[in-house]
Amino acid sequence: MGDIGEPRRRFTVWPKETPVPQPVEDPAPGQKPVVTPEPVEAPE
Amino acid sequence: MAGVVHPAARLHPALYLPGRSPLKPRQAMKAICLYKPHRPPAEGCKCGIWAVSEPKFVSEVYWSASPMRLRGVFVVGQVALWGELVEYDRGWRASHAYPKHLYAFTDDVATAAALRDRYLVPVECGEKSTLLSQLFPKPNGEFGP
Repeated sequence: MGDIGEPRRRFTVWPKETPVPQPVEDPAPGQKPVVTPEPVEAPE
Repeated sequence: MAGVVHPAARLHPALYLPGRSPLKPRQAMKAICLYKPHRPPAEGCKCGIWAVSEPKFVSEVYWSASPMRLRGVFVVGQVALWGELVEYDRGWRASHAYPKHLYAFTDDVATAAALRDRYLVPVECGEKSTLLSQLFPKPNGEFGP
């Protein structure tokens, strides 16, 4: 593997809401539906 | 993050290992250690999901080594990292990750759309990806396309 420098600190982060998007039609229990991502822009 | 999209719009991590499965859509990527039975990112080991803090450091995670041997469209992106993390001078190692915003190096809108629909994250292609590529280091250490 490459070199990303020296380790600075170790920590733990467990977000309250999952960073994994869920389909609007099938939101995870107790979670709000995720807004559909912006449409892909066509190259000019 | 860096990876390769195969024709079936499955995103493979940049560091290709035989038998490694593609990133599962709508599921967190959970690191496992291939060397020792410990929890990534373990101290004194290189296990875990690697990410760099700026595009100019992307070569440090083999963005151009393994993927070019694979067929498919090259992709980089921002990732959400969580769980256990180790912060480094130029990046992180983490136990969990998922893409946040992807940049596909193609003008093929259909490929980008398929990637967006599968992983449910914004996907850029064409000019925006080309602009991003100007921040990447070239093999000789320079920057630019």
